[in-house]
Amino acid sequence: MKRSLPFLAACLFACVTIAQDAASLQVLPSTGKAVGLVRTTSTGRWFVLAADLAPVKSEAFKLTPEAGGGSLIFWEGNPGSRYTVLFVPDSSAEPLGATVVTLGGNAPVEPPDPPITPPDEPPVTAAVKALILLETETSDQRHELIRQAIRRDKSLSAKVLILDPNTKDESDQPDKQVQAALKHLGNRPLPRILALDSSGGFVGDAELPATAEAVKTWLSERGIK
Amino acid sequence: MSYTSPIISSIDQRFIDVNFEREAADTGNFCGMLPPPDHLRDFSPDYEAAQRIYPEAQWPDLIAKIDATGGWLERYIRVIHNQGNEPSCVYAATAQATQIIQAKQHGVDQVRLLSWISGYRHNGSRTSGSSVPGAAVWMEGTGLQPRNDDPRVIADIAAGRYKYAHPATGYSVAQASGWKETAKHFRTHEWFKVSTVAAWVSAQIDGWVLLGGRDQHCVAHVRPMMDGGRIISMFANSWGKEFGATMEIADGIKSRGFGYDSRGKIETMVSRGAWAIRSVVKPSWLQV
Repeated sequence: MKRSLPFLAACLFACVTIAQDAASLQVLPSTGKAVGLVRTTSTGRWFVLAADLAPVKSEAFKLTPEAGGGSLIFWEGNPGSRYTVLFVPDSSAEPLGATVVTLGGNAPVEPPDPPITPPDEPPVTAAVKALILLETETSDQRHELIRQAIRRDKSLSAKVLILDPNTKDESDQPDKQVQAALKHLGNRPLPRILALDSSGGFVGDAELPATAEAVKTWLSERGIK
Repeated sequence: MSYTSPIISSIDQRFIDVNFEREAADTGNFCGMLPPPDHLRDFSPDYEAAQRIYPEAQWPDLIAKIDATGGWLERYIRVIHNQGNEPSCVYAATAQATQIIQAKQHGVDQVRLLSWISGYRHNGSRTSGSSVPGAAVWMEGTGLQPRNDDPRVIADIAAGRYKYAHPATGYSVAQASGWKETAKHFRTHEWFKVSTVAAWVSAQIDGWVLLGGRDQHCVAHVRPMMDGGRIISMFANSWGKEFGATMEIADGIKSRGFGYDSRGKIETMVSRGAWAIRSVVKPSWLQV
């Protein structure tokens, strides 16, 4: 959720800038249902993305001249959720189209307020993702077997980064997340697994377990699965 | 040394030790690998001097562990490349290797497909081909643009993460001014030269992707196998899905595009220069 606001703001900005000279995307009414319908006057490729950029299963239709021509995209989603719709025209002469759609339907029931925590107890923060710090130079087949097990679990893979402590960003600067992890670990040796909460704070760490099963168990016990 | 990988019984013998030059001529595909230029021959550290080397007697047991998982680096591949009628095999294989490491570090769902022609067109002519260490230098310093047909790339651009995408192929397609600011998000870090068969197999066992070439063609090698006493190295080619054996790639997709090299071919590759990539840039916008 932390990422969604700037992401959507950027999408909205892109939508505004792209749509100025694009064949406009028309969001059709869905009578309160949790379905999305967008049409345009030309043909091309459609993409529907959830707030986390995950592609959403959708179906595109070419419209007959009798129906006004062009094309239409349809998808089912979660009530109240926002989706980014991108359109790449077949003709390279036309610019991209983009829009953001909030689906109708009944919004999910808000969970009840959490119980008030007594002031002398620290708030409990839940782990939602993990970082494995692994020195590539000394990693071996055992580490690759762990990596394979995580990457084959689609849900788990999306929540785990596996990085070298010397990882750099596009400007050749040390990666900030890795540097924060190293600072948190102090002189504890690598390889190490760290659990993070939704804001990126570290809520636990341990020596990397020896087997893929043990790693998955460690993650699962902290709610990361 | 009598272990045989279970998959050996089902692989298509036509794709073992393929003569790339002849196959390319017969099928209308293109090669394009040049020998390493002298000044780049030793630009990177030697794998055998820096990394763990497994004795040959241990290979069967270690490869049996890989087989027990049902796959290896091929499971990180989103799509088999197709270089079309351009001699861009070195950059097509380099892009594939880079994407595999993206998947290893960040997850398959975070892989961005890369435009190999965005690098090749600066390092070779329409007909010349290029060298692997030349590509290594380019990938460390400049990088590749992402592909304009990848929905994740389109979404990134819409979100303002970077500006420019490029087609996978098309030597003459001009790049937008300022494209290097985008390409720097898709660079590699640290290459190792692989000079012996033992280093080649050890690197594969530990999950490194290898770039090697023979018959003037470069491919990305992704998995070791045993056939009795024979070592076999499986590669992902860049001649599209019309060539090669079928394997399971990312997301359970079955795809053609794979072939197999026996020890003699591995010896040829390491004698002419083969390389392993250690890591890729993690763009600052990428978070789990």
